[in-house]
Amino acid sequence: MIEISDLAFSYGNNLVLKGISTTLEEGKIYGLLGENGVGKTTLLTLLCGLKKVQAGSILTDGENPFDRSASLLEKQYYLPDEVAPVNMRAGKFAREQGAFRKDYDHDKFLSLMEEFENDPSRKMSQMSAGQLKKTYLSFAIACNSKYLFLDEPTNGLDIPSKAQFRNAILKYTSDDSTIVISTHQVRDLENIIDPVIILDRRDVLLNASLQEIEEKLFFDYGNVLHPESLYSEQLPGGFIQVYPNTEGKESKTDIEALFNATHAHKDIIKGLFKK
Amino acid sequence: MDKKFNINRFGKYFLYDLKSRWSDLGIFFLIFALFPFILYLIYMIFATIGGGGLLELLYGGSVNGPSLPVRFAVFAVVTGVFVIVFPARAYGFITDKKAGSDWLMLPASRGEKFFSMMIICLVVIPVVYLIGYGLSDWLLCLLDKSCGDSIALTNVNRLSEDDSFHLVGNGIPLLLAWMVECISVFLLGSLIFKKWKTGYTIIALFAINAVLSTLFAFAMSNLDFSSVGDFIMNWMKNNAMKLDLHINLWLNALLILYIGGCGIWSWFRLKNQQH
Repeated sequence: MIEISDLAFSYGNNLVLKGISTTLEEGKIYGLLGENGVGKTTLLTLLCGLKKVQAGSILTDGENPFDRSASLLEKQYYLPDEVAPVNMRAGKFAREQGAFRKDYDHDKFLSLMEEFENDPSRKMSQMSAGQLKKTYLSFAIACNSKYLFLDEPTNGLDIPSKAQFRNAILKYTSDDSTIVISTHQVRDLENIIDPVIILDRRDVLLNASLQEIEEKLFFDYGNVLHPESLYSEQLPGGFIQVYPNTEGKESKTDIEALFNATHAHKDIIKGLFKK
Repeated sequence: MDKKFNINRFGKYFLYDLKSRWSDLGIFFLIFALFPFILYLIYMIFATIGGGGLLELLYGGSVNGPSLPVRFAVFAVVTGVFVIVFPARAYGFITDKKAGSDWLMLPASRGEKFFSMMIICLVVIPVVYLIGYGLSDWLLCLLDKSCGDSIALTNVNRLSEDDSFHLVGNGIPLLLAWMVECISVFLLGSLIFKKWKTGYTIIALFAINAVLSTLFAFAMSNLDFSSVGDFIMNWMKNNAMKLDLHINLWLNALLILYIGGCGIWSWFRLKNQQH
């Protein structure tokens, strides 16, 4: 489990994160959403220990990630938005790096590479950005890490690869893994992320499971406008509207609409989800 | 301790590090280690075209290869350039966001990564370089007798006309000590500066020397020269029999302090490296 308490981080005078407190539980795929510059990548790099917490604390299984102990590094994998084009064949790279991780499964890596229609015998420095990303994604999943942090994993992927990525995450990751996916492309990951974390510059606006969201908010796909809507957007043939679910009706979460509703009514959403 | 430094994991990491450095530096290293042949080619081209060697060859004569003093001078310059340039090429990537993040996240402890880096930089590479260069030069002298004796088999003490000065172990320990000293400084520079690592390290060294020289001059201006001179003369008289030993001790202590200081600074630089 990852416990974040009163976390703060700034770049010089530019305060990026302040007073962030939340808990990331095992066996869940968290979708980390937020506007540009809100600190999603910063939070991921703090979680994996690439940055040092300036105030507050992060504890991963009771350890400070910035200590970068070998045991904790073995339990986690961080995939940045931009990856290094190593001058090595993909298969060799995976085998050599995987040797440091006891749960790494090279057969799984090869299966994933095949699913992504990627060639493991090809040099990574000669791959396109998308192919390189798919190689790293295959390796990240094949590590079978307890904690997997993915920063914009679908950036640079073509349309079929995005579907392959969703399948890979659902099919190949372990049930007790904690996966945190930071993304702007909510539609790419709509059916796999649960819970959803919406980050604001100074706060976690929302950290709730889809079930909780659907209990408290109603996503109306009808064609009649409701004045109590927290958010409404015209779609072909109707609207998508979000409003408090006072009648306990069932609906399916539209993450983009949820994000927009949360940003338009921060206090109302926080009040609704206060535990 | 096992958590921080595991000997099996260190062995595995050391081999991985060695292979990675060879893959990054192999060609660069070969250019330097095989420089006697490159020098020979350049020398012969110039000697044939510019030095009247062509006429010599036309009249059935021969052109002599580079002599021992020429090869010694080139060896000194090439070795100087090698120790200044290679640390940044070997480990400069650590400050790079993409490659550095990958390296920091590799499951090995800080101690294992640090000691591997130090052993490779301060022991493996200088020793292998000297052996490589010595072998190339020896082979060259074997193939073209006009080059004279090889550097490795020459007694350097015989080259000097000053009999009072004797280099222990044919000067190899001194050469290695000087190489390790330079590498320590330039390795530290490559971990501190993000760009123009070698250039900025040279500028920093100039700046430090300028400040120290100014401070030294300032201190000397406030000293009573006659009492300092008397003190030194008395000390030399009292320790006349062990003067060599004392000077060697001081120089070695200074060298260890210098290398140790750079090593400690490098350790803290790695410990606090963030991306």
